[in-house]
This record gives sequence, structure tokens and C-alpha cells, in this order.
Amino acid sequence: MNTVNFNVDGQDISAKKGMTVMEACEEHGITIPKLCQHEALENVMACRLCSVEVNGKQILPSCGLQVDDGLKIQTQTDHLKKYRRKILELIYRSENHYCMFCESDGDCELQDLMYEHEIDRFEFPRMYPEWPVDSSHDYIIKDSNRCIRCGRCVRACDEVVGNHTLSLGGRGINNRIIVDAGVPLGESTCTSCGMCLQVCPTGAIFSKLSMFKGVKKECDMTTTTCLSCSMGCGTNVYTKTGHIVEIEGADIHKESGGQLCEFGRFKPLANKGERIKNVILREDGEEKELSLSEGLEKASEMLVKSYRISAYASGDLTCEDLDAFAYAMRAHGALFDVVGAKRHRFETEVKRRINMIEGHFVTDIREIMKADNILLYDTSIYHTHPILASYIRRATSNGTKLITIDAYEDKFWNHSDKSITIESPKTQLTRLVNQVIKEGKASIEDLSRVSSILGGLRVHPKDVMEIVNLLEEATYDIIIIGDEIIDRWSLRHIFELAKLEGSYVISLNHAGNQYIKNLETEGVYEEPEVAYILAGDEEDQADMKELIEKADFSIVQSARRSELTEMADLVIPSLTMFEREGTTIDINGVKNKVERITEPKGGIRSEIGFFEELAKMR
Amino acid sequence: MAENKPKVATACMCGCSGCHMSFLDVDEFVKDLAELVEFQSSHVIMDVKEIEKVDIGIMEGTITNDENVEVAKKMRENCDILVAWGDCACFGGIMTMRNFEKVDKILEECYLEKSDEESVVPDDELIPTLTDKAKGLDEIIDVDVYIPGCPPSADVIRYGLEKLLEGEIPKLDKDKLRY
Amino acid sequence: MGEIKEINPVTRVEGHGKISIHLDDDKQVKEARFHVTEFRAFEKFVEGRVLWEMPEMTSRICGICPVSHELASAKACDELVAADIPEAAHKIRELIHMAQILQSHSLSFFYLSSPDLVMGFDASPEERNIFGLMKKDEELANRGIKLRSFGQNIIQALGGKKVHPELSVPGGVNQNLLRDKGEEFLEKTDELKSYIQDTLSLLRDLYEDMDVDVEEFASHETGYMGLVDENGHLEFYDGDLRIVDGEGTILTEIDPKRYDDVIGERSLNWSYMKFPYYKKLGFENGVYRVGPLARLNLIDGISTELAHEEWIRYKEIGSKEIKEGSLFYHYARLIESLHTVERIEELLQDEDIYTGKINVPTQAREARGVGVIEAPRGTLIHDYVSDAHGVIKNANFIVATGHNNLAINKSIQSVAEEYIDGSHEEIPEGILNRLESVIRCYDPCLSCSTHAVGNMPLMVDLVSNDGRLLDSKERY
Ligand code: SF4
Ligand code: SF4
Ligand code: SF4
Ligand code: FES
Repeated sequence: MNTVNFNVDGQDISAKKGMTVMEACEEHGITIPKLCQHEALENVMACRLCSVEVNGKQILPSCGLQVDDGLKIQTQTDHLKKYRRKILELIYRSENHYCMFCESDGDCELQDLMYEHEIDRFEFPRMYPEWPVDSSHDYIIKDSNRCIRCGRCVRACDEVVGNHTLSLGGRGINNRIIVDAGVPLGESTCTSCGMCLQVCPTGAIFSKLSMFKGVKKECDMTTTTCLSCSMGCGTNVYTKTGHIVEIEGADIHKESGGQLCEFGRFKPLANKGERIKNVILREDGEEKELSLSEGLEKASEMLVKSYRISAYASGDLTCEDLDAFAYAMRAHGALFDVVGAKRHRFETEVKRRINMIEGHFVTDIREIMKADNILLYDTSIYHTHPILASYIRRATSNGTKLITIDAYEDKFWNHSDKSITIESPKTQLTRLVNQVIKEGKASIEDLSRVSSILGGLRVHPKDVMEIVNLLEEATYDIIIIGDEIIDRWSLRHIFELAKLEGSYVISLNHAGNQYIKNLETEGVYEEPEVAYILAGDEEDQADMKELIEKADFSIVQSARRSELTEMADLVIPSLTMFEREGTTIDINGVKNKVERITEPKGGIRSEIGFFEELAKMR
Repeated sequence: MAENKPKVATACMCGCSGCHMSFLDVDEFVKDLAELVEFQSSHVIMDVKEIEKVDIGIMEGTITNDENVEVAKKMRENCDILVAWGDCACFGGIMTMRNFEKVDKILEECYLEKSDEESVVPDDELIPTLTDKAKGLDEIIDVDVYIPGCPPSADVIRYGLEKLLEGEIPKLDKDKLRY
Repeated sequence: MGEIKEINPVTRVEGHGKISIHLDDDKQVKEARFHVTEFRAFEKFVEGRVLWEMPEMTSRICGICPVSHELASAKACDELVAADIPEAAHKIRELIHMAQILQSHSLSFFYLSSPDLVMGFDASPEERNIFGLMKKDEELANRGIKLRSFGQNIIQALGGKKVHPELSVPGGVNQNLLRDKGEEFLEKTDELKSYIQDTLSLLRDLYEDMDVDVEEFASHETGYMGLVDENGHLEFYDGDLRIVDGEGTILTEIDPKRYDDVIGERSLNWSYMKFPYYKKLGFENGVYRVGPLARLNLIDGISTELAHEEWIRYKEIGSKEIKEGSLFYHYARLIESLHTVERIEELLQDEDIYTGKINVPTQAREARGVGVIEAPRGTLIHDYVSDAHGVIKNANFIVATGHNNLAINKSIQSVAEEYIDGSHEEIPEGILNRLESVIRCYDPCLSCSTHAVGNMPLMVDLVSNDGRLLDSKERY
């Protein structure tokens, strides 16, 4: 059988083989104090706080002890309590803990344990080691004075984020968290994901943006889905009297380990434009403030009297928002498009042409971590899709080979096995690869001859061969296409390659909500009479700007002042990501709920209601 | 009746008075207390000869100078049960932040660099001399009851006093303990 | 060589003060010194910490007016990060500040001073405290308890705790007031206003009956400093820094961020408390006072109705509009308390308090930030310098009692001169009570708390010019 039977505190317990004693106990509602152990991370047995008495003699850390038949475990003996108290006291006294002004006061696992063990006095003298505070990062403060060296942050950065920015260094009491080779965090390879501060049990790493905004334990917490990109990360948003205190990753049990990226965790709380509270009309060089209903009036007037109307929406809205907007715009005869949808249309077209079936597409992006090889087109996803990037990094640490192809510097440079930098048309490279695969390796000779005759072709036959070899020897390879690749030919060659090699594809686009794949979009007039842009939270989308510039009259509906709203003739208030509610579809096609976190604070309460009205005003 | 009332004295060393303020936040309970105990003030610690001992001595604040040391010792001699109120008295509190630097250097920086040119460092014999390190009470004297917190809440202070009046030595459990 | 009378005294209980009186060769008072004996080192040890922690850390400078420190600090930090705080945040900060002034003034008046006034200065020390007051005038004691706890409850509702609350952050505050709390508080304000008005009339009667001359008691001419709003009215949170002379003539009115243009600080070897002075008049003559008395002397009016009326009435008392006698501190404190309740009432009816935007994100930069507010006991200044990452590189604090330092010394000198006339080799009877009472008038920050639950012990040493102890008197 797969289960073992043993005894904890006099209670008979059965558990699955391979579990640790701590896990088994927790499953049965027996809590054992712990500090270094974290459910999303490997166990390292660094603090020994979780020690239990085994078979009446040994004292062993339960987070590292496998369950076994016949074990007799004691978790709460007086001796253990004393032992644990001593450990806690030593941890506390050997660093500089001043709870009264610590950002984690009230949310600190060390402090909780000290209370639980009723530590109201200390046997050991204080050490007063001197540590500086590292405040160089835009969002994160690292304060070694409160670091208990549990190593959770190090493991998180390594195991979950795949980034290896943090490590433990120095001997004895000088053992500390080191950033890269000893640089300030703000100058390091840190990707600003904030995973370290999410797992830190103490106030040793924390967010500047959340400091003293509230004790999480006392806050309201809502679980929702981040709308910033298509990864569909679950977030726990903490609020106090309706204001956001902190955002944490919700999915610690999943592969993502509760990871979030800069856009999900920090950006929403960082500096932003001012909220738009009233409708703004710019007419004859003058700026007027209007009420929402006057704005509605003006918008419909413009829509009714115009023929060529372009409606363009941000891709970071809910399905319901997109539907309502599309409906209203169609009612006025507009052409309708969403950020990211164009790329999707090309893709669909190409797929149809080359007769590529859905089976070629990865349905769960975590598959990345199982691939033998990854061929990545466009490394800017390092910044635009950080969670996906973390999976790629993690894969490479586990031996997956990574080849990147980019017009610019490879952003995965310290993870990739080969970086090919090639200016457009990238398509040439892929086309050659395809040809070689089709016609055999010998053809590369001819190809290089041909190419040199044609001149100007900067594709290296060597690069071509390398890709070919790699794909050939692998059994499971994934091709990832970044959202910057938008020309049809590139897409076509890449898809052809996938088809030829039987590789799986992950294809990204700019939209946060993949509902764009279900929506009917058609591309817009490039020089419309009226451009109606539903920007939501979006602040500067190049194609939105272009559209505004070319339109005779432009309407921008936006939550905040931005470059877009400065350009528009009519500005209408919109909602932020946290004021929306509904659903969103992630890259795996899963529909997730979006909860309203804060009451709308701009000039509009219900955007959907607004569009319903607008639809009627024909 | 008045003779049987336990006598209580409180004293403040280098603290912010916050613990005493928190004590006053027991509001109306102050009135009950007035019935239950007799408050001798901390003058007891000034002259041991003339003052009878108190039952409960309560101290707030950190030990930072020789006068604090003396006061603490006298309080210990003159009370049966010594109570430490607040992080400062219990563990040293925020004042121990000065322990990262030498006293002379701190004084120089605070008084010479941050005042006008004619300023001097205070060193008159009429003012106490700073100890090398700021310390919690129990680094100098024995403490019987620890009520940490910065400050401990009025409820916790009240709980501590009530227990003492019932004749028990209070010990804070995890719901009452705060740093 | 002069003699030293050491009154060691205001100490222990009050915590951290001590008095010595220095005689010249004719046994006349040469100088009276009020020694501050505790040194806290905050100015030094906040260096190296980050600006976002400053409100929390510096709140620990004083447990009696922690909110004032938190706010002054937050204001300095706002400037460090160049944050323009939302209007609602401004109002919420003002609300907690008003609550703080009210609780602190109530403590000072009802718990500490009114026993003196009600029972007389010469009543036995065992009676002259809040417990004695409860027996003698329970109603008055109850009013005090209610007023203070009203203030403390607002502080708790906004900052989570009554002492060292956590509300202000650089860039604003961290919460709105919950509406039901606001309603609960609003219900009480009428009653509280009438308490204060009744107490004011009680005080007027007391002054009339008092055997000391209210105007002359510990009176001396100084300048006065405090904040005023754009109309020259009483202001606690913002506004300009005004300094007037003993006649009430405005000497200067500046942006408080430029305080160091007009205020110098000197440290002397006999006190851990520095001596700020008005630079233009120099160290010897630049004595000024801050706090309730000073504020009511330098303003042109009060923005709330009832307090304004009381202020007009107050000015008419006695022979001079400018009040010098330290006993007027009590009166001034009550008028200010009335203003705070009125202002609290206004603020509680403001929708912003409940729903307004509460803070803006902050970004550190290399900067200097100065935060100035009126704490209960007077002008409080926090002055920081931070680096580009928000690490504090330099800090300076001037607390209310600091501004009053020279004035306190003058006041005790005037008491000493009154009692010591060159004929004594011993400490005259009665001086202890008087000194204690004078010091209490200033309500020095370093004091309070402890003797609220007991009485204020005093000890006087009389030392001859060659250092012999001639006499020593203690009073418990
Ligand atoms: S990390 Fe925890 S224990 Fe340490 S000072 Fe902060 S709250 Fe206290
Ligand atoms: S910074 Fe936090 S997570 Fe990292 S080792 Fe220190 S205490 Fe642990
Ligand atoms: S423990 Fe906190 S509240 Fe008490 S005296 Fe110390 S600093 Fe003040
Ligand atoms: S939790 Fe098991 S050793 Fe730290």
C-alpha cells in the first residue's frame, strides 16, 4: 500500500508515503511551528523550529522527516516547547528586531510564534550587529536587521522565479542574503516580481508601496484575477476602508507558486495619472468640463452624424465590458477592434492557409517546464509576460535548451543556450530552417551559396543548422512566439516549422483578456471621422495614439489622465482594473472571475450601463 | 480600610510616558482603582529612609543614565513586586537604537553638529551621565512582571493590575502579548 | 562664587526634570536652571533608517502627544517625496490632530492642573491629584475623563491604537473613518462643548477667588510663536509661522519650512534640552513661548464660533490683552479644547473623511523636508534630509518644551526671586508648590504622566557658595 500508519501525540494517523511528518500533521489539523518551511518551496530544514520528538528519543525537524510506519511522534512536550522558545529567542536577539516600527508588525510569522510561545522576557543579551538597509530598489526594501536567514526568499527567487538573484552568503552570524555578487537590489538582476517579499516571514523584505498602509490580518481580502496580461494570475487583494493595501499572488499551490509580476503586484499601486472625474470636451481650442450625461449626448451626436467610425478597445477589460462596448459601437455602425486582436486574426488566417490544427497549441503554459527545447521568437516577453518568462527560466535550470531569436539583445541572455540576433525579416531564418528540414541538411550548402549571391542576407547557415539539429533530436519542443511578432510572413513560417517538426506552439498577443479570440473583430478605418477608444487603464498604446492622430474627432474613455486623454477631443471617465467586475479568459482558455475590489472613484459608476445607453441613442 | 489597600508606586525612566498614558486610557477604571489601591508616587524611590515600602512598583522606560540605574535599584529595594511596563522597560525598547554608536559620538553629533556654534555638549554634574548602552530593566534589577507592548494596551495594563490585586503574578498569554 | 539651590524635584515623577537655583555672593538669585536630565538620541539613531518609517519611529519621542510627532514627521516626509497629499488625507490628519490636542489638553487641565485650582495650591499633596479631585468634585473629574477619552477614541478609530497610533504615511493617511464611528462621535459633541463651557465659567470664578494674582503669577514678558492660518486665525496643522513680541506686534511671519532663518538652537552644558531662541534678538533676549498661551496671544481670531467668543472674553480679562501670567495657560487650553471639539464636529460632517482619496504613491529623492505643526504644547518641528533612496541622512527635532526652555527658566527664576531675598540660608516654605505649579503651567512634554496618578514630589537642596549643603527640603 501507499499509506503508512503512525502515531502523533497519542493519535493514530495514516498518511501517504513520501509525505513529511509536518505535512501529514497539518492534514490532520495538528499544527507544528515553523519558519523556514513554505508550501511553495523545497524544505531545507534551516530553522529547526518544527522539531518534534521521534520515538521518545531523537529530536528532528518534522519538515524534513518522511512519514513511516510505526513512528511515534510527540509535537508538544515541555522539552520541545523550551527548545523552541530558545530557538525563537536566539533568532530574535541575534538580530535587530524593533517591532514597534516594523512594517511587518502584526503580520510577522516570527512575532506570531513569539507570542504563541509567550515570550515576554529574554535570557540572552542582545547582539546589536550592524546592518544597513537596502532601499535602492523602486518597490522593495531589504532590511537585513530583521532577516532570520530562513532562506525562503532565496529559494523563491530560485525555484519559483528561476532568477537566482538572491543567495545566502557569509559565515556564521555574518551569514546574510546577498544580491547577485553583492550589489544593491536596485542595481541587480531582480525582475521586480516581489516573490521574495511574499514569502518572507518577517519584515526583512517588504514593499515600499504598502508600508504602514495596513496590517494584512486586519484587512479585507478579495481573491480576483489580474487583468494586466493573459497569464490570468490569481491575486489576493488586501484593502482597508476600501483602499488597496497590498496585492499578493493567490495561487501558491499551483506551479506559479503564487508568483506575480511587477504589473500585477506593484504597478497598480505605484505612481499614476490623476483620475478623470468629469467629461472633458476640447472644442475650438478650449477645454470644457461636462457632466457624464452631457458627455454621452456629445458622443452619440458625433457617432450619429458620422459614417466612418473606428472603435478600438483595450485588451485588459472584462469579457462583459468588451461585449457591451462592441454592441454599442456596432449599433452605430462602427468597425470594431481590440488590442491584440489583429495579431490573432493574422494567426487564424495563417493557420487556415497552412491547415494547422489546434492540437499544435499548448493548452497549459506550464508545459513549458517539461519541454526539451524551447525556441523563442521575440525575447521582449521577458518584460511583457514575466510569469511565462519565469517558466522558461525554470525550464532552463532543469536542462531545457533555449534558443532565442530577436532583433535586439537577447533578454534571456544568461539563460539561453543560443541567442540569434537577426534584424527583420526574421522570416528568412525560419524559412531557411523549414527548407532544410524539408529538403535535407545538404541543401544548406546550396542555400548559403544562393544567399551570398543574393547578398545582404544576414542569416548564418550555422544558426540554421543549429536550430534544425536541436529540433530534430528533441522529442518535446515548444515554440514560443512573442507578441511583437505581427507580420503575416513570420507567423506563417513559424507555424509551418511547428507543423513540420511537430512542435507545440505558444502564441502571445497584447491582450490581457483572451476573449478577443472569441470576439468578432474586423480591423478599423485608419482615417476615420470618429475614433472611439475605450482605454480603461491603458496609458499609452502606440496604435491608439496613431488612430487618434488620424481621426477627425476622437473620443477617449479612460480611467486616468494620460498622453491619450491629452490628445482626445472628448474624454470620458472609465474604470480601473480594480473597479471592474466580470470575467476574463486566460492564455489557457480558462475563464476566471474578476471581482470588484474598490468602489469606482472616477466619474463613472457603470461603464456597461453607459454603453447600453449609448447603443440606444441612434 | 485605607490601611489595607495595597500601595502602588510608578516611575518613568527614559521612556516616552506612553505606557503611563495607556494606563490612563483605562478611563473610568481609574476611579475604581482609586478605591482599591493607594498610589504613592515614585517619590518613594527618592528617600528610602522616610518612606514605607510599597507593594507594587511599576516602571516605564529604558535605563539610559546613572540616575535611571539608581532609581531602578531603589525601586527594587522598596517594592515587593516589580512590574515592567512597555517594551522599553521589558527589553530596552526603541531607545536601544542608540547602542549602535558610541555615546560620545552621539552626543557630539546631536549637540555640536545640530546646534549653533557656541553650543557645548551637556556634561554638568547636575545632570546624569549616560550609560554606555541603553538597557532593559532586567539587565540591572530583577523584574517580576513583564507587560510588554509599545505601549501595552489599556486592557492589558488593567488585566495586569487586576491580577496583581487578586494576589496573582500575571503572565500574558498569546492574545495579550504584543511587542 | 555663587550658591546652588538644587531642587530635585520635578523629576522622577515628572520623569526627567530638575531645578537648581544659583545665588550670587549677596545670596540673591543669580540664575535658576531647569535641567532636563534625559537624553533620547532620536536625532541620531533615525539616521540610516528609511523615510517611510519616520512617522512610526518618531511617534515614540512622546507618548503624550504621539500624534503630533507622527504628523510633523509625515509632513516632513511628504516634502521629502514631493507628495501633494489628497484633500481628504489632509482633513483626516487634521481630525486626528484635533482629537490629540483635545485629549492632551484634557489630561493637562483635568488630570493635572485642576486639582491645584480646585483644591488650592496649599492643599495636601495627597489630595492634589485626580484621585483627590474625584472625591472633591466628581463631576469635574468625570468631565475630564470623558473629554480625554473622546479624543483618545477618535485616535483609536483612525490609528488603531490610542497611544502610538498608525495613521499617517508619507503621501497621506492609511484609512478613512468608518461612518458609524463618525456618527457615534458626532452624537457626543454637544455635550462635550457644554462641559468645556461650564468649566470655563468655573475657571473664571476660581480666578476671581484665587489668593494669587492671576496676572502676576509667574508672569514675565516674552515673545510668542505659533502657526496661524491665512486669516491669521488659530491653526494647528498648517499655516504660517508667526512670531510676535510681548506687546503682540508681529515680528515675523514666514513659511514654517524656513524656521531656521529665524530660530537658532544652542545647547548648554547643564541640560540635555537645547535652547532655541529668536535669532534676531540673540540668545540672551530671544526668549519666546509657544503653546496655548502663546497661540491665543498671537492670533487674530478663531475660526469656530464658540471658541472665538470665549477668546474675545478672555482677552478682556485683566489689564492687558496679551496674557503673560502662566496661570492663563489653563484658560487658553480650555478655549483651544472648545475649538477642537467644534472643529471635530465640522470635520465629522465632511464626506471626504469617510470616502475621500487617502494617499498618493511616493517616490524618494534627494531632498530636505521640514514638517511643522502645533502640538498641544506648542510648535513642533521635524526636519529631515534624505538620499535618493529615501534613507535618512540627517534629522533635527525641536519640540514644544524646547521652545519654552528659556522661558521656563525665566519663570522659575521669577518665582525664586520672589521667595529668596538674600536673608535665607534655608529653603523658604511654599517655594516648592509654586515651582511645581509654574512648571505645570508649561505642561512640559517630559512631564505629566506619572504624577497624574500620584502627586508631584519636590526636593530642594540649598548649597552654599563653596559647595556646602545648607538645607535640603523634600515634599512628597
Ligand atoms: S520582523 Fe517581525 S519580529 Fe522582527 S521587528 Fe518586524 S515584526 Fe518584529
Ligand atoms: S529576507 Fe526574509 S525570506 Fe529571506 S532569509 Fe531573511 S527572513 Fe528569510
Ligand atoms: S514602551 Fe513604547 S510607549 Fe512605553 S515608554 Fe517605551 S516607547 Fe513609550
Ligand atoms: S520549518 Fe522545519 S526546519 Fe524550519
